[in-house]
Amino acid sequence: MTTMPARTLGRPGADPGPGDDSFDWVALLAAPGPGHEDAVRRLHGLMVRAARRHVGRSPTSAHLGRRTLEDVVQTAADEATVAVLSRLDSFEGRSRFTTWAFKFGILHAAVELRRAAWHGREVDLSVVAEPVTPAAGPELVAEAVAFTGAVGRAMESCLTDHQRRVALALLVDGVPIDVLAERLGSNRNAVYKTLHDVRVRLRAELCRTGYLPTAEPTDDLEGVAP
Amino acid sequence: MTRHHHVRPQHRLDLPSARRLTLDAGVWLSCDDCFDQVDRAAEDVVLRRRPLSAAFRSHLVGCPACHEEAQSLVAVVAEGVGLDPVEAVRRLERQLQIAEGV
Repeated sequence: MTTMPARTLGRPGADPGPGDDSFDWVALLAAPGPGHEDAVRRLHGLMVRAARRHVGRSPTSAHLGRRTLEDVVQTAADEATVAVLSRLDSFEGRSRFTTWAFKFGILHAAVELRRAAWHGREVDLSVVAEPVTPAAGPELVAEAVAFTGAVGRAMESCLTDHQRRVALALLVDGVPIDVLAERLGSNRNAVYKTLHDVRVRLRAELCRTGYLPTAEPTDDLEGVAP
Repeated sequence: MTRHHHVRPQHRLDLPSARRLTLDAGVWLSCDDCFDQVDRAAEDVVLRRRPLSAAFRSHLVGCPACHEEAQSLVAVVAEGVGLDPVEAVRRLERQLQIAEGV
């Protein structure tokens, strides 16, 4: 087993830098031996840092107290550390190890944060939408009312109850996707697939009725400068 | 006997909601696929300044949860190499605006 010099891991809380040696991380974390416990401790430190960064910048945090936020950070860091250790064999070196690991810390923090924010809140799973009149000038109002009315009618005529339920909860009521998935006994992928299908159906109907321009072939944006 | 009526909150379909509902879904990419790719994508934005794939951009535009998580990852990666996280997130957003046709 490769022994990692201290300078490769860097100080706790900091990236190892451009010389980041992914093999050393994986080797040290994969099996017990010299440096293993220290590597796990440092990995946990990275997960705390990622979770804290997400919690610090997410608007969802504004609705939660300091103690709850710290619980979210610590719980997410613990879970993310376990997740990284259990998925080490899926690290393919397409990014730096630290970047790959950070995404677990952020994912777990985001899920915990949304769960905490929606704890005890009812998720309305009824399927009827009520169009509202936007506050704007007369021409804009007329256009907006016509468009929202058309979307409402398309939802009634083109979507299943399940699709309406998912679309309204996610995009009208702002229920986070993982919270909704949990309430529906489903998962994030399946809920997002439903939303994707909803958009395809609604756009087709609105193109047919003249509220959206007829679909053109999707531009391939590959190669567009960032 | 007093009757208590439970008032269910109503879904208010306004123009921003209608637009979110009719967003161009683009090329299909699942949330799991997005998670698999997001570390490489974050480095493409921060370190390599490479354009993101059309499917990845479409997914972030259409999925608020993955979008928020990608922003945080970009910010953390930028901080790790001493770059401004706010500017790095802006760089990501500029690519998404291209995907959104803004």
